[in-house]
Amino acid sequence: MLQRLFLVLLFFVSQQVLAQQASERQYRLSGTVKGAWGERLEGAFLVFSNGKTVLSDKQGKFMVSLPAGTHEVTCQYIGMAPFRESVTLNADKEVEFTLINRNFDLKVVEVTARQVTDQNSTHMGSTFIDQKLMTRMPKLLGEADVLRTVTSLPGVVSAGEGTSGFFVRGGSADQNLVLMDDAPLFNANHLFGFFSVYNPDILKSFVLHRSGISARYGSRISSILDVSLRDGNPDKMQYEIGASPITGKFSMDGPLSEKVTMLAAVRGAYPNYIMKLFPSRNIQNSSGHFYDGNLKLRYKPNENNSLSFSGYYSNDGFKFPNDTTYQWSNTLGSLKWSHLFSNNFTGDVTLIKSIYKNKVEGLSTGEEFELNSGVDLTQAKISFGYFGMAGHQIDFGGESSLYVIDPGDLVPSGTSSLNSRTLQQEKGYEQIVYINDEITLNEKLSLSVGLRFSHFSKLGPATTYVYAEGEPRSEQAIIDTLYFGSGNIVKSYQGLEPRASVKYSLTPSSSIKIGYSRTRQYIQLISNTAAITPVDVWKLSNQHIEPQIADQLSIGYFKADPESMYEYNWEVYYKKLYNQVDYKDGATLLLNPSLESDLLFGDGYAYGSEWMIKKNLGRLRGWVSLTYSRSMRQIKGATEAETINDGDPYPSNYDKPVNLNIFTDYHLWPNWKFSANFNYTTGRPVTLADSWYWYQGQIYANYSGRNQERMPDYHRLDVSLNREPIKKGKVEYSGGISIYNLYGRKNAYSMLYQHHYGEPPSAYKLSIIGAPIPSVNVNVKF
Amino acid sequence: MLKRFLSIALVFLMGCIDPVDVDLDTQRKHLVVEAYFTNLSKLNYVRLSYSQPHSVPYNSFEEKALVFITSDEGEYYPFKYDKAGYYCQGYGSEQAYGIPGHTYTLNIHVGGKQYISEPVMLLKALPIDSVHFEVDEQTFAFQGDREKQLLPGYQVLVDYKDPGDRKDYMRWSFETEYEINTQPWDFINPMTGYPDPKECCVQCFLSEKLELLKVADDRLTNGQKVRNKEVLFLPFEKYLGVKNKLTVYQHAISADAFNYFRILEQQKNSTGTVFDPPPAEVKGNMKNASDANEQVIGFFDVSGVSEKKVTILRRDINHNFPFFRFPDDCRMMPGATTRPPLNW
Repeated sequence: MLQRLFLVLLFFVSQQVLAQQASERQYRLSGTVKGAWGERLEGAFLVFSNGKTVLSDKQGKFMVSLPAGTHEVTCQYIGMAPFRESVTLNADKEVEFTLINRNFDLKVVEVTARQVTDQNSTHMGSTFIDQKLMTRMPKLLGEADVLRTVTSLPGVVSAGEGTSGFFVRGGSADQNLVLMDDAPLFNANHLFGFFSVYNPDILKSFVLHRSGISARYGSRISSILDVSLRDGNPDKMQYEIGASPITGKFSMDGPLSEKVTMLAAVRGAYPNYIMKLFPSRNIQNSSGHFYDGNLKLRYKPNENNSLSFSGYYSNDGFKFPNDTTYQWSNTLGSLKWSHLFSNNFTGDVTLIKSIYKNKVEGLSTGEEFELNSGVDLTQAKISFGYFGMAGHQIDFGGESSLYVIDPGDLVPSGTSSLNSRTLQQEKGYEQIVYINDEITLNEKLSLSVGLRFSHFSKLGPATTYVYAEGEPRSEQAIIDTLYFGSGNIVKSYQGLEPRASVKYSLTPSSSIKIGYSRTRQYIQLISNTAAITPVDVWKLSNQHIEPQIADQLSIGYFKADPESMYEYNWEVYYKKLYNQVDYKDGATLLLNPSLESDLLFGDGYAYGSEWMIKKNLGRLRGWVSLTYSRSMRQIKGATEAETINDGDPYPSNYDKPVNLNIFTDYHLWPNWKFSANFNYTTGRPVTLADSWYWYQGQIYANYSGRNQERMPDYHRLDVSLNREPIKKGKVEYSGGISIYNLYGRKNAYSMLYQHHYGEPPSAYKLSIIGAPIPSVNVNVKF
Repeated sequence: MLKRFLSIALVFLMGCIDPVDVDLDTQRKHLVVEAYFTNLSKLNYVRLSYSQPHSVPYNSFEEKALVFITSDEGEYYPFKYDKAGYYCQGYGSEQAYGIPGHTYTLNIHVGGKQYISEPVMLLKALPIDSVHFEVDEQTFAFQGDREKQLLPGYQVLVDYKDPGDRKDYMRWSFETEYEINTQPWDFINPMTGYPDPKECCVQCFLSEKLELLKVADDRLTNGQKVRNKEVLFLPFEKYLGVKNKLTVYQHAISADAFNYFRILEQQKNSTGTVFDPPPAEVKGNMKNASDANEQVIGFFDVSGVSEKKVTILRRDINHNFPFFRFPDDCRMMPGATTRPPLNW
């Protein structure tokens, strides 16, 4: 009897368990997202009907665990029509989604801004912005700009108007690796920083990595700005013309043959007619220009191979009457071969060249000269991705870079009383190997662990100085000079850069992530101003300038609701920075062979908390991001002359504790969208005077300490009204009007003291833009 | 040259300058030492004052200090208080000048505190080969002007030979004596607002010391014949209306003095643009002998000086410019006298 009862019970229980197992059985759905052209789409966004979301990786692959049953999946990608399909799972399954280019007259509700929070990946501290969204942000002088958009992201602050420098989490401007189709840029400015090198019409997207950086990326310690340009479309040749008050643009893209696509773009600026409006004869007789061009070719002989070339050239110039001309140029090229070894194994080989050249010409009598400087980078990269092991996504590869820097070559001419002077060319090799594994342990827990090893050698020929011990470094303190022959190693540095991040899902729509990264940097920009100016020099690490190192720990909470209506994220970080460079008072940076004697070295730290709320759907979309952060430096040299603020920590030039950004995009009328962008930051630290005094019949301010006071707070509202594209026959028109700095706030760029006769000297602020700046932009596509 | 780029860039960028309030709690008072010692006794002086909070518009001078210069070679030169913060050397037998190669130290005793300079060696002067002029337009503010204005005038250029065997640092200072003619017959009585012509005087003479922070080094010109080094700008109006006798002093200064004046000049010319280095504390060579943390502003500059005199006549200037307008007795101009200088 008891035995029978037991059997019945056992049968009942086992039935229950089996039923439960059947209903909760999880299957693996993996697949590839491709474009119509067969190209694999990285970053396609997949939403499943149970609320799960996933992004495709750089091979266009994705993998997700789903319960058995039928699932609706929506796949979205910028510029492509949304793709919907039902998938029934009763076993592990592999699928392939092919998206088609969006038809231009198709009135689909497009995803304005893709979800930026991916609560299911181990990635943190990276933000993705697509071109569509960027072009709707209010513009300055009619041109959408990547670098200005970057400064509206959490944890990023701008150096100020009239500069395109940006500071990420307490780091300086040269600690950001700025890429264009994999090629690093050494000066991303056009026309005093009002424009950047990126032509917005041909941009695909950009990602800013600022924490939990994968071992794939490195060479700079604060952030990586990875900007990709569009490939030519495979359907038909398209042309686009754009105009704004001071720039004109033309681009074309389309197929050259069945296997080759092309994209070409040119852009030029004509500020001269605006300069003619100034009352000053000096400005009227001055001239400025920039032009740039992009060429992108893509050859796809078969399903498993593709070869792409991306080239760029830009030229900037400014001339003053009978005085000085400045010119700089960027030449970039990257050639990439991607190969699919198997469905689980891919590889890329990339060859990169980036040349930055600078020329200053003096024309005044007695001081005629030509000063040339520049950087030449040659790089080869190889990277592999292996997806064959369940739960692992392994990236590995290496890169080798040769930096050649011409710090300055002064050639006098005519009646010049200057001596010619050439600073020795600098040469250095950087070698890198890395491996990164993204491991999915289970539904809740996944981690990414990576290791990067970098080795740097400064090579001869080189002349280096030995300074007397215990004395402040100065030209007078040189006690010995060492010569290194061509190819000899002057100094080597190397080190491991461990990276790790862990994701733990609290619910399907929320997670907690922890990330750690160490980054190393062997090249720095020597500049004592906030802007990247034509006379700044890049400098390699040597025996006096040690590589910059940063350790960063960050923890974040990420949530995206199932319909992707709202996203929230909150991230806190602490960063320790080593071997930071600062400057002696009145340092000589140009053509200085003993430059290290004018530099000061120390450490720094930064910490902060970043919040962001984003709304992706509905008539009103946009985000609010708030950051509280501090960034400090401590320079405590061996002597008083090599110490700043008695060796106490002081706020770095980039310390702006509160940073609030609000961006909204409102669908006003069927064809019109209204966008507004508001930005508030605490004023930047400055050195102010504690008193004034007379000296030689002039009044001076007595500055004391460094960065002990602050400038007035910065805030600004920009608005724009954008017309959705109008299609007339084969021609499509789009455009918009923007007002930058709507309420005409005179934000301080810097502070100074001025004395007017009959009153005490007083403090003034200098504003670069002191009025609302309206602009119109028009684009025509055919 | 970069400066010029920057200022134009700035105007292009529609920059503007507005007053802001500063926190007065952090304001301090410091001793300011302006001291020059050269091989020409007439150029030697010490001036003591105090820096003032930005809310105080007045100068404050130190009148009761004990000031003297000593040398490693045993010289001793006391300086006596004159006026307006100036301490000068005695006259007659006490009149003294520095000797090239000797090393001098400035001592100041004030209010129980002792301030002392770093010892500085007096360097041998570099002679000026020639002084010449070029017509130019530059911004300039006369004393009393609120704003600088663009004026035509003479660029003062010097030529000299830089010796190739040493590092040289230079500074220039000037003394100008000039004649002005005014229009007393056009005088308008400010009380009544009606013309009230005066009989006298049309012709006056003025003398001014022009101290500029103009410095140069031979980093890029070592061993060269330096031509057309611009050292001063004199607007035609006022300075060159009739006749001007200009003395150019060329000082051979120390590396520290060069750095001090260079940074000071940088600050004077700083317009706060994107391209300007951030302002910083200018560290001089004076310190409190018993409290190293006390900030003392200023520099004890010891230099070897050479001079060159030139006379400029209006009729030699090949450029048209308006005559100097001053509708009053020329003696009403500060410092003007009707007595011509010696050998005029």
